[in-house]
Amino acid sequence: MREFFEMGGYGSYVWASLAVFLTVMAVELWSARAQQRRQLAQVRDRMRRSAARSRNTP
Amino acid sequence: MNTLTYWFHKLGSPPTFHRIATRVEPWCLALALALGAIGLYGGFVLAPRDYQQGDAYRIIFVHVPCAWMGLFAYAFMAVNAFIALVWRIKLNEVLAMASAPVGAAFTFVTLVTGSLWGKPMWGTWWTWDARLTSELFLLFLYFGVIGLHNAIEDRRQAARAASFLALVGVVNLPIVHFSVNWWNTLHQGSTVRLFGPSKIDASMLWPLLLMALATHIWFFASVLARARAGLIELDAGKDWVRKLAQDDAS
Amino acid sequence: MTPTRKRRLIIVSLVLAAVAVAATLIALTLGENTNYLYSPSEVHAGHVPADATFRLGGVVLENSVKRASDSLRVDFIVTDRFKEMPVQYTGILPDLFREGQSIVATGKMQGDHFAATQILAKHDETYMPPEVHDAIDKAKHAQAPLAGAAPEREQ
Repeated sequence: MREFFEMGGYGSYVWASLAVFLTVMAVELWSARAQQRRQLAQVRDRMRRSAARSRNTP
Repeated sequence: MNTLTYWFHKLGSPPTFHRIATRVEPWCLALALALGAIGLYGGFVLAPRDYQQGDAYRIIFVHVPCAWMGLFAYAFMAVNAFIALVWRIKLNEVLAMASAPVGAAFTFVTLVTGSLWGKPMWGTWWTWDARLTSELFLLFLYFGVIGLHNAIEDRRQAARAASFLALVGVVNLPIVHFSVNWWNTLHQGSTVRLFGPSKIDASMLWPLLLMALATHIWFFASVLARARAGLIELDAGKDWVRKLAQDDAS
Repeated sequence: MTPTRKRRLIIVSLVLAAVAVAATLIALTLGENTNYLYSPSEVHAGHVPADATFRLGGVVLENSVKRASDSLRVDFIVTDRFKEMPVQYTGILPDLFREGQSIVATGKMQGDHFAATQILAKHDETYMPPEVHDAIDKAKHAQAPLAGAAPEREQ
């Protein structure tokens, strides 16, 4: 098992590569999702404000 | 109007595309994760050591699929940019802009993992040979497209300006791919070939191809997610988006 | 296609073609300068200006590596199988450095030998398990005497 993690002495390079790959992919997906949530929240915000305006001006 | 153009127009309409994308995206993601898990297990655990590079060669299983995706995402972006510029189709503008951050992410991983591979094998983190330089230029092109898209206020004008830059940058793609053949480089030539035999043992090839498939599907999942957000932004005042926002809140 | 779309199509295509031509011209002019390394034959033919720092590429000649016992100094010969070039280097070598391996040395000429300041190892695009490599090696050795013997049998 220890031998597997050492990767013939190249463990730090090999596992760092895998970590960079997985981290960047996770952040990338998270940012895509966040963008979607932000856009929908903006639409709701705008709807609330226009609803408030139409209430205030009869 | 024949059936093909009918479906083309239907799919190109933002509400329909959004509905289909919402349904397809989780499946793409699940499939990419499953294939990626098998591919990584195959590459990092099952595949044998390389006769020359020992275990360090295992970086290939993330480096090469990401490198392919960096080029693929750019080609996808350029095709959509071309359609967006000529036909001014909203969906293609959104798709072109959606692929830029994903492509940049893949290109970034390519450069970093390549560096992590270069240090132990070549003896340097970085060298200015034609392959590495053109790959770095690819990353800057992605940054340029993203930056230009964010810099212009009007969203549709921004998308078209950035599309234009994306299209001009397409000349870099053959340079990245063929740099190892056209010039003397430190980077080695292509291992996996579409035509002719690949120069990699079958026991190492299958995890590599599986990873390539997984990253392709991942790319489409991410593009769909970003395209959905882009369509919502462009159609913010439309009824279908208002309805969606209300449904999402409840 | 409407006339406006046709016009846009033509404009976009023309811009694309212009950029492609420009890029090709730049690539062709760069041509020589973009070469990352020079081979021993090119150095012997005088393609490299004197006193210039450049990269020398080639294979480490078999049985040519001499390591100093008291320092990190290494002497070896780089060959492209046509011409040879003696190289002198002091420092840590990359893991892939071995006889028969392609390397890239950065440095300049010092008299008749190349004084390197950096040694990089180049590896090829072939990947295989050690057992497969051994098997191929064995097959090659088995073939070699046969190939040599073939003409003799004809006589």
